[in-house]
Amino acid sequence: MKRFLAIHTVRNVYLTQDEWVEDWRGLRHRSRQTPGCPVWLTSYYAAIQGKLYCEWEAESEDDIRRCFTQRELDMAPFESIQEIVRMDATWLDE
Amino acid sequence: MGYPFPSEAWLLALHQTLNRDQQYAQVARGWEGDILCLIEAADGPGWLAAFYLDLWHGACRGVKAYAPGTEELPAAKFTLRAPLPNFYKVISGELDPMQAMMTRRLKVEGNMAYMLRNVPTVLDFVRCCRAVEIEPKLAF
Repeated sequence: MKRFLAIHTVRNVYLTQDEWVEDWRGLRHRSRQTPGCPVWLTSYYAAIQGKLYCEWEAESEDDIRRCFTQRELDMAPFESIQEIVRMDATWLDE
Repeated sequence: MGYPFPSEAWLLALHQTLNRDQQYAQVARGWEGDILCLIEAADGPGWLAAFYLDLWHGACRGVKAYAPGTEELPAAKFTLRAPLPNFYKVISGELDPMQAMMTRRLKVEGNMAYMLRNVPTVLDFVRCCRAVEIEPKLAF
């Protein structure tokens, strides 16, 4: 599987904790049933800049896009999806 | 010297910490909102203690501790609700506050959009909570 970094611009934020948790849980479950089975690994949120950086494992960028509902895309549209390679800084300690 | 948690002494120490901390004053300069922390029993209904904090523009304007059955609790912009072990894990550094909210180990009542837009303030508030030493160390 390839690894991707998806960058979202956050336009709207969930109004309640339940709405937030249920929607993100839904996305995580939905991705497992999407063709290619992309895996949402982790996210970093830059609150001040309103950006969300999400790490995915997938066969293709399109597989990631297919996981999202229109509402999710309206709330936080993709700015870009880039194929990346992981380089762990702790490897330098070896 | 540490403070027992939960206790009024701990809350008063947090009050002092928040108002002495220059980083908090800077990071939370835009925050407007009071918080009510409801510490629930680990098993069963009801709450063990409640802490009210009036947080405004990087300062803590006042705090009040409530014991069950004493007074009516104030309405606050945010109510944070969790069993004692979960609160303890967050303020002792064992549990990440964002993870606690995402997994509902810490329940948040109030405008989540405001809280998420102010994540740096939330995290710095927790940093100040962690700066107040807790004694005795509890094990859950």
